Amino acid sequence: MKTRITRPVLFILANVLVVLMMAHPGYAATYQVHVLGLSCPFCAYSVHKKLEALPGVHSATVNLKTGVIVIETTPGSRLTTETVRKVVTDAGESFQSMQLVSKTPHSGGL
Amino acid sequence: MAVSPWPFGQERVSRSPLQKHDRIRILLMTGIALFFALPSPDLASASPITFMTALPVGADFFVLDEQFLSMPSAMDPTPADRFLGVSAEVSTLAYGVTRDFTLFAMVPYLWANVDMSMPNGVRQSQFMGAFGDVSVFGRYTAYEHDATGSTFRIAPIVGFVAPAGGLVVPAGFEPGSWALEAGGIVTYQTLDYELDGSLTNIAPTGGAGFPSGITELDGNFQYRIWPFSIGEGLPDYLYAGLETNILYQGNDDLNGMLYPEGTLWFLDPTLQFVTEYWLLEAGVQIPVFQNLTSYHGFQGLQNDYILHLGVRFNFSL
Repeated sequence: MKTRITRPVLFILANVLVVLMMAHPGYAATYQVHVLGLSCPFCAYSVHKKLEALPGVHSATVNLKTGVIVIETTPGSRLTTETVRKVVTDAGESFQSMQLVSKTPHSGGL
Repeated sequence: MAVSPWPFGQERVSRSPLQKHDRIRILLMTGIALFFALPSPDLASASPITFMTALPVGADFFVLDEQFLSMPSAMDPTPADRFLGVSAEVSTLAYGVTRDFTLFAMVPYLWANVDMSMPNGVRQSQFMGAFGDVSVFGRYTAYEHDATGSTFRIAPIVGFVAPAGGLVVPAGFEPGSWALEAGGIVTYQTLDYELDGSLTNIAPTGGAGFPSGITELDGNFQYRIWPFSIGEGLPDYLYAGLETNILYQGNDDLNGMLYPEGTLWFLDPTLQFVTEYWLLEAGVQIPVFQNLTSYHGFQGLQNDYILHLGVRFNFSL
């Protein structure tokens, strides 16, 4: 009696857990972009907005002191260095480098 | 091409009440003067208030600047005891055509109040308002060196001034001519401060109603006074600054209106509050030196001061 009740319960709980994990809005990847020439808040507007407007970008956070912009993408999205380089350059700044900080199995990475 | 207030030379002691052509001349002169006094802001960032900087506007982005100016002139050495009060609302729109080339269009609206004593002892007053000359110019980043938290740029500028179409002129008095503008700007900005320098010249192409040309040398130093240290993220800034403007105009004589040669030197304390999306700014140009020579008996009016109040917005379509 106890076995018959436990196995189905465990099976259901395991499936519920898998569904919850799949439904969690986790970010596919996090990148750090090093930008040169950012030296005041008003200057950061165009590069900030251009990066946030890229397909698959969930958020872009600017750190003015270090010149680093942290980009988080949506699951399944991928950013290439050349795409980000063009966006930064079009914004009037200079692109230095980009690193992948973390990724999930959904992300294709760099 | 920054700006110079040049409201002198047009007032003439008349032996009769202000005639329509006198009023028009005064308005034209204040328009010309205020045009030359109008700021040519680099709208891309924290930057000088009275002249341009070389900092960029991103490609396909816009910056809108609205600036109010007040420019009273009451230091009249002549018996006419002239007072000229000029105010202006200047709208400037910048568009980043590419990351290196930015296009600017500037449209001022002017109000002029003229008050003077006539030879018969009667005090005459006249109030006028009209659009000023429209200015269109381009700026190109010719050299750029960027580092973490700093940038150094050199940018030439070139443009033109189109005569305002809103002024009514009497028969026989030519409307204003077109003028060409050219110059160069140097900017160095860090997280803590900014330095700008500019040399520009505005020269009319001919016709009546405009001076022979104005050459201007400008400088700016701004320092971030708040926050005291930069932490994480994108903080708002408060800058305190000091600008300086040196202007020279040669003598000109057109249609009986005489523009005396003169040299002006201003020092301008400024304040600027800067966020990512907008900024507020205030500054006052204080005359240090005004040499307005008498030319054929016409003595120019000296500036009391020039007050600048402005706001700028970043946006994209």
